[in-house]
Amino acid sequence: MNTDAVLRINNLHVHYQTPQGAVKAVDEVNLFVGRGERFGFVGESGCGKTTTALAILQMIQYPGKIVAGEILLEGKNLVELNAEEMRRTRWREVSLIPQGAMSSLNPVMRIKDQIADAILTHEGRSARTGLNQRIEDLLVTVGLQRPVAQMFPHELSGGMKQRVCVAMAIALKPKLIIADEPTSALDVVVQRIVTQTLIEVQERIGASLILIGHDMGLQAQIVHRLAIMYGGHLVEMATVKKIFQAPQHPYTQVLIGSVPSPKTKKSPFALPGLPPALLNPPPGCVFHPRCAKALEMCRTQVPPLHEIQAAHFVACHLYR
Amino acid sequence: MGLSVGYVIRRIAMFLVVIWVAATINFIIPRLVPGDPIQTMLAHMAQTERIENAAAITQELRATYGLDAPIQEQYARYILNSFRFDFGLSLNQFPTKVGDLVLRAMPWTIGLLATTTLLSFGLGTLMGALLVWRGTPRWAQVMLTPFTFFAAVPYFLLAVVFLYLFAYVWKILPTGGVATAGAKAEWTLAYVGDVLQHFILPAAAMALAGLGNWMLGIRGMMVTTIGADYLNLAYAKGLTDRRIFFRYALRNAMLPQVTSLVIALGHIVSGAILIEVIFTLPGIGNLLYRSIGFLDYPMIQGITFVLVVSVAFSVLLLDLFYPRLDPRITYTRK
Amino acid sequence: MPNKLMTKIAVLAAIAIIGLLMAVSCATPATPQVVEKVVTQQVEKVVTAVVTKEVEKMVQVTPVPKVSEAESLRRQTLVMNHRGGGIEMSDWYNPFPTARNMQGTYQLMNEALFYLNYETGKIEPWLASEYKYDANYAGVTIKLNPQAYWNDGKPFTADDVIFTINFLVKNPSFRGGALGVWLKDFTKVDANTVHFTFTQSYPRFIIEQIANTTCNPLLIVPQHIWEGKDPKTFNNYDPAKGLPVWTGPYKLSQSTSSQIVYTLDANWWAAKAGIGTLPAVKRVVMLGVLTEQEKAAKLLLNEVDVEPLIQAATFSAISKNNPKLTAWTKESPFAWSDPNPLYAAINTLRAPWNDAEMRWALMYAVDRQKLVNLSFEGHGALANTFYPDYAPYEQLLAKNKDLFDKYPITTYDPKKAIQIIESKGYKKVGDYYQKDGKTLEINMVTDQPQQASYILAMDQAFEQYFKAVGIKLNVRQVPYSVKIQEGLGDNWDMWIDALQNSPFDPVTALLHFHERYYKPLGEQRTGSHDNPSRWKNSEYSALVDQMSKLEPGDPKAEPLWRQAMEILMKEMPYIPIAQQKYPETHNETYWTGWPTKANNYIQPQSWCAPFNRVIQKLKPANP
Ligand SMILES: Nc1ncnc2c1ncn2[C@@H]1O[C@H](COP(=O)(O)OP(=O)(O)O)[C@@H](O)[C@H]1O
Ligand SMILES: [Mg+2]
Repeated sequence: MNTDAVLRINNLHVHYQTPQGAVKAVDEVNLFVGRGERFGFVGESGCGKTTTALAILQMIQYPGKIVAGEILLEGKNLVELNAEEMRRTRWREVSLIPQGAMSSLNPVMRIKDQIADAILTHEGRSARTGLNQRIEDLLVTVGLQRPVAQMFPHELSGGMKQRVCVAMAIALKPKLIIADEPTSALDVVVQRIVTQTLIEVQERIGASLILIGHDMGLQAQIVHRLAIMYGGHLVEMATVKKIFQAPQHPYTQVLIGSVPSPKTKKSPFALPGLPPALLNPPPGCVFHPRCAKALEMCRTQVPPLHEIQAAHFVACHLYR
Repeated sequence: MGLSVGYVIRRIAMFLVVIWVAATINFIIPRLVPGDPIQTMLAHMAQTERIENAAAITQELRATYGLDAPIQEQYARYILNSFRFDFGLSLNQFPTKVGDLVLRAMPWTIGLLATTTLLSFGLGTLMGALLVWRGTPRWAQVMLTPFTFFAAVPYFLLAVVFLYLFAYVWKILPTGGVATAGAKAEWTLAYVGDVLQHFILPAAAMALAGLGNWMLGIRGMMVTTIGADYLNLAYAKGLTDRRIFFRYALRNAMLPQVTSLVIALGHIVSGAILIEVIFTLPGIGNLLYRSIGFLDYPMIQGITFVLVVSVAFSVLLLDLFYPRLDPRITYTRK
Repeated sequence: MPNKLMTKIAVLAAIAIIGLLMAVSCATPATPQVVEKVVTQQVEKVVTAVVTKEVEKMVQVTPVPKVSEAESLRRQTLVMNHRGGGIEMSDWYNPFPTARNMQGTYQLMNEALFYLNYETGKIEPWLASEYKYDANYAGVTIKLNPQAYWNDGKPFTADDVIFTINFLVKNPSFRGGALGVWLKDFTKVDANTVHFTFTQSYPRFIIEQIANTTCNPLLIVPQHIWEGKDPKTFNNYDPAKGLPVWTGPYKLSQSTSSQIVYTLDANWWAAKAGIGTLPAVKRVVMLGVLTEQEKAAKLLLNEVDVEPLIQAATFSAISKNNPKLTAWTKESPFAWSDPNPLYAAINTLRAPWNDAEMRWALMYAVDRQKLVNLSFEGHGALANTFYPDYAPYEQLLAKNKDLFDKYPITTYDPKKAIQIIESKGYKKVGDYYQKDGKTLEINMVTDQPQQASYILAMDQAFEQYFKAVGIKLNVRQVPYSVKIQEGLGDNWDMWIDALQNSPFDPVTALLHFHERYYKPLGEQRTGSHDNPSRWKNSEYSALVDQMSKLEPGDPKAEPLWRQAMEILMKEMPYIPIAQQKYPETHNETYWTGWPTKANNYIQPQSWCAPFNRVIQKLKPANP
């Protein structure tokens, strides 16, 4: 559909090398994110979402390692950049709204200094002129008061801190913003407002957004396209509409079914069994031990991601 | 800044109370133990000559030491004098003023120990932090690691080993004292250089021994800090490694170290004893060591008082300035 | 990033280092004092052993022909160590209101009216030229040397003497202030003559009060400097203005708490007058050195020319490696005997030691020869009285040898000790004797081992010997000044100290046991050496009084001495222990002409006034 992809991930494999063996946190992931697109990334905790995000930023920490794959940001393969080139790419082109906004700000630095840090590092000394004004404007953009610039993180509420993170993330007008469960620690009301702000600023600067989360309901209202992840694998990827109208993968179907709504009073994740251990993933399809429709071949063969309709990708033997 | 005027005043008042209590204890203790300064003084005189007129001497000395006044008056005078750093006359070095002796010894101790403490703090903190910093080259980490072993070596042992090697075996540094025999004490480059040369070994011993502790201290904190979320975000921001190290990691990991540093600075005097004895340096530690040997109560009291004041003052400074270092600490409560 | 290999290496290395440390300090307790002591001892050994080898190598290297400026200055300099630790009161040169030993001042700057030469037993005139007692020793006339002058050029006269005596009499707590007790009157006869009238017949006035047997001779001060000054606060220190003014061969040029520097006064009166020799030493540096190993190292490295107080065992070790180091004798114990032997006073007022027989039991119980050998690592000398082993005493004691047969002072006979104890009704229960349910105990006060290394071995030996005869010894080791203070009190049975003595006059020691100095329990004594045993014997005291009326050396005193001595030996209020032998170490690398037993022109007491004599005799080793 959208050939003008800002980000394209091909065949990404990330392993954590533990004493017990390799944890295959991201296994054979392929995806793309279009320009200005809001792309959702959903899956149970531990399925590899953050690892994928960190892989994009080339911030996988020891003992993790990208063992294979390419990450193309506007055609530039980030995996092949050296440390200094990658450092310059971060924030300027891809920024991050971290998972733990509560603790992601340096407790001993004023807000303005933390934002200034990002700006000055990438834009150099020339950015000094009007810097304070620029920072305050940024804060205003995300719905904060100007004096917040002078404050320390501990003087802010959780929602305010998250807004600061949002402000920081758009400071350099990057092409891509990765928001890793940006609101999971906030209460529902604040969640909505912050998310709204995020969408506004993202649209204003025309950046693409990868929104990571596990709340299908929230995602449905925000993103254009969704990717469902399970056990390090991408199991389904399509527009929100398609996913909700016609979920294909049995796992997606369970997820959709679990979205709480006033009508169906189902408890979320009414799924038997446990999420897979990525250290020793089951052979074949990682989902098969919990899959009601598992075939014989699911136990032995890994289903590849397959475009079953235009722009609707599913990794499941049922649709071969 | 989270530092109210009321708080500052309260804190300074506390400081004064501590000093007052210290002075009071100083006043009471010698009056609880049997014997008084005059007896000690007489014993001191009796070492060298037969005292033929003890009664007259006792009377004269009691007046000199103000022991003939009523106890309340003695107390009031003692407290007042304590605040003026006047502790009366040394017994062993009678009739020199304790305050003068302390003042004369102080610059050596401060000069040597404050410098080495700051030096080992600075170096140790940096080295310990680099030890666990992922940006540190492997070879540098390997080079740095052995320095942590010095945490296990007492400084006086290092001192004697250094003395043995540098002064006795290789003869490249002096064995002790503050200047070459016969060197004229004056503000010339040659003399200052001479003194500095005499400070190398004790300073190296103290600094190296301290280094290990500072390294271990910061290393633990650094490991915790490295896992912090704000460090990850700093990376994501594409900041330079150097800036992340100093402004984000070290700056936060250092906070507990600063407390230790201030306490260490407050304890310089007591920590100086052995090093000053080993190297025959005329500092406070040496003075205290000898005063104890001679039961020179006014002197011991004077030095103890200076000790208490320096620790209390360090803590006061820490309390007043810590909010500057860590904005999360506030003192606005009523 | 933590690295597994690195962690392993780190752990292994840490274990190795900790093991090494533990081996080195072998269970060193954490208290600084003890640690320091252990470290000191070990380092002493290591340093002595290894450093000496290095020095040996260095010594064998032939000297460089060309002499650097520093070296040439060093060759004109005498470096001496301050005795008894660091330099104190470096800006205080007023000797009167302080009890502090004014080392450096006596030897180099100040001079005495008379010097007492322990070797010749003579009173040598110096600032005074002669003295003459009045009839019955009721007074004395002293003639001053008319050629003497102060180092600021002003003449030294009778006025200075009268001025000084006057203010000593007015200030009894001043050093030398006790003089007032003996003086009824003192007058200037003429510009160079003074006359003193005593309160009672005093044939020892010159020896005891003027020449003095200790390190503190009477110091005369210049009236023209001191007049109008408050003697309690005047510090007499300002080298820039020429203070202190004295008559000696050296002037003060610098005084700090780490060193004192003196420079030769080319105008010294004694050289001009021809009664002294202008020293070849142009400059003297006195260093405050604290630890035994630093003393040893400085001697080995030839950084110091004279060290007054070092253990015989240390000297024995370092002199083997630096042949330039010499002492009084070539053989052990190397040292000249201090006139004050080590002894233990027994408190004769506390039961059961108030019984002379029980005190004799203590004598029999201890093999003192062995105790001395153990304590001084083979370099000790047993004392059988409180007298030093000087010729006049040796002769006197030899003549009265039969007394020692009657009272076997040095005999070790534990069976006899047990016999005495049992005869007093003691029964052995376990290790110790008991009477009326009370264990037979003796409480001893000594210095701390830090003070002198022999203490530890000595205290242990006493404990063992006493235990062997069922007496329980309780030792209290305290710092020196505490020991002195305790000694003035009575909370002990046995107190170890050195008894102040004259070099030739037997009366001095006897006087210490005079009933004049007796104090009952509960009363503080006022002279450290005076009757710590609190022993009272009127017959003895009368004999000593009679002797005191005779001039030293008077043959009439000898039978009196024998009688008094016999009473003392029967009663034994003290236990003689050892001669005090600390080899004063002389380094002949830069200076020769030091006093030795073979060349005994004066006693080797570099910390005392007679060193004035030594420095005139020193010759440069490399002229
Ligand atoms: N440092 C690490 N060491 C070992 N395993 C890790 C590490 N970090 C993450 N993992 C594993 O990688 C998998 C993916 O984690 P993550 O990407 O954080 O998941 P999500 O963000 O979806 O919750 C998890 O199974 C987790 O246990
Ligand atoms: Mg996550």
